Amino acid sequence: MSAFRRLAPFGFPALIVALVPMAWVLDEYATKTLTKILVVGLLAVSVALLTGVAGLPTLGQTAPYLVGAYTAATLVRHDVHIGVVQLLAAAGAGALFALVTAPLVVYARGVVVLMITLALGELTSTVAGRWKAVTNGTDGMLAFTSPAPLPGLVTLDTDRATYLYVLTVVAVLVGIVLLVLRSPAGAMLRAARDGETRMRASGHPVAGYLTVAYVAAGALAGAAGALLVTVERYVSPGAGGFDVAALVLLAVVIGGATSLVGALLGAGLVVATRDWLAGTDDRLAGHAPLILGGLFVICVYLLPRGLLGKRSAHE
Amino acid sequence: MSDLPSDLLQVDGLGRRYGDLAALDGVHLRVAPGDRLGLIGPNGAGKSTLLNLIAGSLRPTAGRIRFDGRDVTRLGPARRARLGVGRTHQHPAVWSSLPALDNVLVAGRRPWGRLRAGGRERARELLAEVGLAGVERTAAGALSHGQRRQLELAMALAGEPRLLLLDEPAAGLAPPEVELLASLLAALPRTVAILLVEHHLDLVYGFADRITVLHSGRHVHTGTVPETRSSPEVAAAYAGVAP
Amino acid sequence: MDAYLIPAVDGVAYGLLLFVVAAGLTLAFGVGDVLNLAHGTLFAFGAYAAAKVSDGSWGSLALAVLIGTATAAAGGALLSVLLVPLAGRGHLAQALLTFGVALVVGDLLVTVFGPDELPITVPASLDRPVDIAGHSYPGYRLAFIGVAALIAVALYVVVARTRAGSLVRATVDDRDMVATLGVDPFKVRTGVLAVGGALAGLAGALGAPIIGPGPRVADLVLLLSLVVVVLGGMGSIGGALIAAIAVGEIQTVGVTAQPTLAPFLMFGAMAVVLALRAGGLLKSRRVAT
Repeated sequence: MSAFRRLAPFGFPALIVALVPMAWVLDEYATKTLTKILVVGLLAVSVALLTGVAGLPTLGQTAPYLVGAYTAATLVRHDVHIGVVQLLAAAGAGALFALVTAPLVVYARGVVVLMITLALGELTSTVAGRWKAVTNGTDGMLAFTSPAPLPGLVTLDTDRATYLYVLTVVAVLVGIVLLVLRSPAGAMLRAARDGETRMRASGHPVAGYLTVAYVAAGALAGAAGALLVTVERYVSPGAGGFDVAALVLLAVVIGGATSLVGALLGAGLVVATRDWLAGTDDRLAGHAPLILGGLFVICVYLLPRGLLGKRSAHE
Repeated sequence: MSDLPSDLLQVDGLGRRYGDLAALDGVHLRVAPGDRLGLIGPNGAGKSTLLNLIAGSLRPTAGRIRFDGRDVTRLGPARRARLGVGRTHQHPAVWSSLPALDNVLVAGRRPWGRLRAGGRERARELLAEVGLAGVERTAAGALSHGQRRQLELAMALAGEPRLLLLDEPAAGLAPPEVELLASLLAALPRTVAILLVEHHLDLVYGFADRITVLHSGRHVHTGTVPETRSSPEVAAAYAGVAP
Repeated sequence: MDAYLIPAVDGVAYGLLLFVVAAGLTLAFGVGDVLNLAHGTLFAFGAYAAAKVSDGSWGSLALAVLIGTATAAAGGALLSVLLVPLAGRGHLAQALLTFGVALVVGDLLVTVFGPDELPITVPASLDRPVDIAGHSYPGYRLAFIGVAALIAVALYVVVARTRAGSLVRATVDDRDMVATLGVDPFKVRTGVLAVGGALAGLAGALGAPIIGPGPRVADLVLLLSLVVVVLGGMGSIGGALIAAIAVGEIQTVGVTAQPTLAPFLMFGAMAVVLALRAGGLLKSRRVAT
């Protein structure tokens, strides 16, 4: 265990280093799949930050994800083709969304958070479907032009370039979050999760800390939304639907919730398993919810020491 | 009871009802800076209720609480903690996934994270003072019940309170641990006033300047240790007969 | 204003429907301590029963209601059995299991009944318009309002006036009540999940002409009943009724008048209620979870 703990800080850099050469090893289809996994993985990291670290189990991070995606798509339509600008704007929009909805979330605990965030996610997806003037309704928004990561750099015209761009963004953002969590701020957030009574008795404003975590998670999800638009060149309300919320929460459960790297790996495992099952058995093709739900049930039963066992110990 | 401006804590007519049941009824209390006040009484006397009301984790249904001249009756527990009210809990509240040292460090941080003077060194000292020098890196959840109690005491002290509320700190401790606790409490500086709720009467008698006795939610006696030991009201309260 | 009369009456029907569904969700949550995210799926059982069994005769409608209610009740009880291996694992694990089951069963329903919304046949004598204040209005919906109001009143009487109801109220206030009663918690959970399921199935079978069976129905009903529970608070049946009618009106009048604004209204209502009630539901749950 202590050896594992000593090695843990190297897990994430090692993962990223291992992923870079994939751009030249994998074929186009596999590269594209891996890119999509990274996008979903970043969303899963934002869910893990809330669910595992801050103790706010959420099904609603699809909401800032959609907000970020529509922000990025709108920028593309207004001829803003700089990747970093799209990212910052989308992260800002996701953070703003979180700031506005924070009072709904940070005072609730446990399954009530699940209940409220599920409603937030679904309502946001509904708004995206109805607000035609801004979102083009259920038809979705096309965002054809590929961005250049920074002014003066090449545009992301190939799958390989897009993959490397997404990988870089995910590496930087997750790296920042990991560093912050290793700092005293991380200890304070975990303390708020472990026991609020003692936090208050020590004078700490728990709701304030949770708001910061929720806004940060909103920014991450918003950035993931921008990456989604870069990869898919398209966004529709379905990108933030029930099944996506289920997928990322499942990824987090598999990854062990308290581990952000686990969430990334979990996202890969879930997407790969889903696609593999749907690909090998014709009867399962088109039954993504069935596969996801089945995986969910299996994981809840078989992974008692993941997120769930750990949380119940504190309850 | 006079309203001396020097009083750190002034509790007036404090009451807490649950429906028809009065857990606490019309209690007055004064604590001066640096005071050592023992709070005793049989089970159900309202000692923990009073302590939770002073800490802000319970809201009173009657009365007023002033701390350092300021009315804090309506403030929450975090606000009161920031003004200088520290506490421990009857069931020790620690952060189980964090190492013991990090528990003290986080408890000692100011709101939004700034470290207090002394920082890490002070946290180590506090752990050593409560007898936990050997378990700095152990997760609090893996400590024994007694150790967690000691840890929470170190955490409360790390916040540099001016008033420290101790809720049965000796409960569940072995005799040598109680002795350690007694010497630790005796060594605390007079910059902190202490309100000690405890069933272990010898500990209270050895520690307190004054003792307040509650019975059935009411104040029945306040006096020095010898006065309390010889008080017929106290004897009656403990015999289960209301005076 | 006149143009909104029909949607407003629709809103009452919609609201009463949601009230019955949300009552089942609240019962499972408040007494059984399980957040049942498969509750919308149990509603779908009732709605599909109505689509497949009801052929325009009164007998077939009664049969549909019976089948829908019974299958949904059985589904609720089965969920309770599925939760047995999770004993001691906390509320989150339970909620996630019901979520997984909802995904699986939702997919199976689409496989069996197809990806389209199914039409509902109602008894001929109800399948004609009636006249309200110069507007023609579907007879079935008017009848539904009557029946749903009866169910709501019956629920109120049971909760407010009977011994079982007072136990329910006491348990919602203080979860430890169940332990002090000396009743097997598994039986309590199975019972409330079955009754909660029955309410969802009943609402689904009767309300199918209002919220019809289709691939999205389970999610929609779950979402709306969660909003009703959040808005209405726990244990207050009056609060839940007001919240349900409000959400019903937002879903009908709101969507007719301001389709974009309607979901924002829902956000806003939740924000206002949660802000006003910093205690209530949230405070009690904070201790419980």
